[in-house]
Amino acid sequence: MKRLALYLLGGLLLGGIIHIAVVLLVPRFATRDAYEALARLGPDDIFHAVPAQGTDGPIAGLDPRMAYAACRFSLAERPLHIRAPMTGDFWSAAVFDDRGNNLYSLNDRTAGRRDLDLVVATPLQLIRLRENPQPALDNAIVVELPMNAGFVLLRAFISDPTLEAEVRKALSEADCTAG
Amino acid sequence: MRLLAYLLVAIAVAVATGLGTAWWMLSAGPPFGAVHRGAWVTWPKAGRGDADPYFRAVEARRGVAPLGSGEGLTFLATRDDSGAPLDAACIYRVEGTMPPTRLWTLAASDTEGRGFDNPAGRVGFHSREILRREDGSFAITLARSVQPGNWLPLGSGPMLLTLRLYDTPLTESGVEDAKLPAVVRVACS
Repeated sequence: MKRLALYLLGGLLLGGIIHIAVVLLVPRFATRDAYEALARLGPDDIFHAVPAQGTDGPIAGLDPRMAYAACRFSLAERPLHIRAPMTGDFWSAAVFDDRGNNLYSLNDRTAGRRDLDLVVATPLQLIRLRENPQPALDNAIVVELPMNAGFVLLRAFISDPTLEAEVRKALSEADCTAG
Repeated sequence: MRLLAYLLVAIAVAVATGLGTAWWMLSAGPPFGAVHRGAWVTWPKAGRGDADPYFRAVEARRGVAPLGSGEGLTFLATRDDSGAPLDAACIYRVEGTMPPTRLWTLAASDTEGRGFDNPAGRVGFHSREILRREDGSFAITLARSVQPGNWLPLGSGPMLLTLRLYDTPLTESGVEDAKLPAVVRVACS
């Protein structure tokens, strides 16, 4: 009996390890997560309009009063450089890694300007950028993030249905591979 | 033989407790870090890189992309102030003032986030289109039938209210003391 209790205790301990492993591995193997689902919209390195409503959209829980565009990217070869005209009203941009962690975000007020000019680089790429400054990046917001792949989600507020076309047009001009 | 039986029992216990507790903790909502304000709940750490593993797992399973700390904060309500589950067939009033924020939107939906069909095509309100009282407070009436003032059309079944505060100082601090509007059930047919 004593031995059985010992085995049961061992089983519980092992169960604890399995519990931790499952929780840590879910983001990696989930197929409904935003990064995986965004691949359905089309190729990487291009901004795609993301539907905010409906159940078959790639990202759940988006605000129907906003217009969205997303771009999947990889930092394996070069830093990410985004340029987007954006709008005169509230807009924001968020950088997620491929596990869905929100690593960096800003809005129009914190950006201090109407358009978005954002560079995301790994620590190593940033050192290289500092050694060889590129004039094209002079006005860009440069962010150092220790990540490999992920996606950028742009959102822009549609204050009135009559402005929807204008907002969507601004988002459609977003460039995920600016020079 | 006995050793094998013991081993099998131990493995069965391990798998059952491991998978069972993991599924149980991930199926409801993120188990840690919730801040409750009246009927509303939010996870202030959602938009930061340091969200806990449970939060990340729940988010990945749901396929959501949380608002970042530079974007804003999302509050959810599935119950009214008295604790009763929200039912889209009832009449509710969302009343009071909002915490400091540059922009907010309030949306009513089913628990999957689908808006309710209505001829007006109205799925929510935002802070600039709402009618306010002289003191700056407001009241939104949520009902299936047309109501005077700020009317948000409902449908049927369990309901979820989503309040999104954009560019709010609450992402930095003060969310524990934030004053959010009341969610009161007016009538239920």
